[in-house]
Amino acid sequence: MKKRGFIPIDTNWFDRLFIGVISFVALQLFWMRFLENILSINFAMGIGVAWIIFVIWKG
Amino acid sequence: MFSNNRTGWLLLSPTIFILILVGLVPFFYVLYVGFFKWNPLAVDPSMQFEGFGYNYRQLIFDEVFLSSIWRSIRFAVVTLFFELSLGFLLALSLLSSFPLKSFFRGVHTLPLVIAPIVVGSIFKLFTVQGLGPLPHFLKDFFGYTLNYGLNADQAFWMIVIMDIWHWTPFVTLTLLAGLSALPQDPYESAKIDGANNFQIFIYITIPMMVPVLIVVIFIRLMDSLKIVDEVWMLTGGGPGYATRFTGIHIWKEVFEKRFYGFGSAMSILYLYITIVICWLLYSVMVSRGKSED
Repeated sequence: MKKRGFIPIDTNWFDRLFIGVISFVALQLFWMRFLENILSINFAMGIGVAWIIFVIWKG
Repeated sequence: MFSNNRTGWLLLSPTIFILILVGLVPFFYVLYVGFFKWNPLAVDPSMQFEGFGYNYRQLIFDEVFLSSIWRSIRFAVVTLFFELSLGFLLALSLLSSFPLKSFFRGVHTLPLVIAPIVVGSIFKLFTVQGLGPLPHFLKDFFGYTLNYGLNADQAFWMIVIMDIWHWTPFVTLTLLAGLSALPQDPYESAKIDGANNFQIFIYITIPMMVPVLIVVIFIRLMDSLKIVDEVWMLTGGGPGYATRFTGIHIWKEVFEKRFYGFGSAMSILYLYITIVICWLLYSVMVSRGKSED
């Protein structure tokens, strides 16, 4: 069943999972390139997982 | 749900099995190999796990790989623009009747049936310095030196021309099929209302062709992003890195240097980028289509 959350298109749960995973990977790559010298990649992992759950729930 | 549709699932099972075998299994194997440092010709030929991010961390600092991605995207956008424009023009012209139309359509479709590696060799024979007729005539008649073995811009544009020559017929045929299937009522109404040909094209033909255009754009975009064989035959990725598209770069890393783990990570990352580009494009096109409705 499709619904409209903070993502500006109608999505079902699989769409939101897909968007969550795509942005999770982007965050990991960005973190490895620019932020890993300052903060461990584990922070990105935690933020990423929380982000996926949030996107599936509210996206 | 499963028990109600048992016959359906039974009939679908061979397809699902084949899809899993040829689609998912290789994908997950490449994903798995991408987490390892693995070179079978190294001192230690075994697969060594150095953390999930080992190869990907190397990749995002690999300037050759990153520049190859930009080069591939630039190539895909340029070829897509020219193939769509030319393909649309040719499809529109093939809708009208003119002498030798069937002959032209047949000849125009010929490049489609030629294997990419053969297209590369045809272009090489035609354009290579000292052997091909094209550099010879260009020098004699226009004083222009064509030597893509030395000139990076010429090499890039030669690949673009080759791809356009090879794939424009596909765009033409697909768009021609779409144009032939369009309903005639809106055209008749527009003519009665006094619309000119340009207005009819912009406000009726293009909006009605959007579904076909989306399909063509996706097929050509994905094909252009994974180009390897024509480039391999014509320039081999050179001169320097001028035509080293990501496909060629992966090929060199995997088959020349035997970096299987690194090459697998590259393939996965490139697949990710392709999916993101296609998904963004699809979302934009679908949302624009909805807003126009």
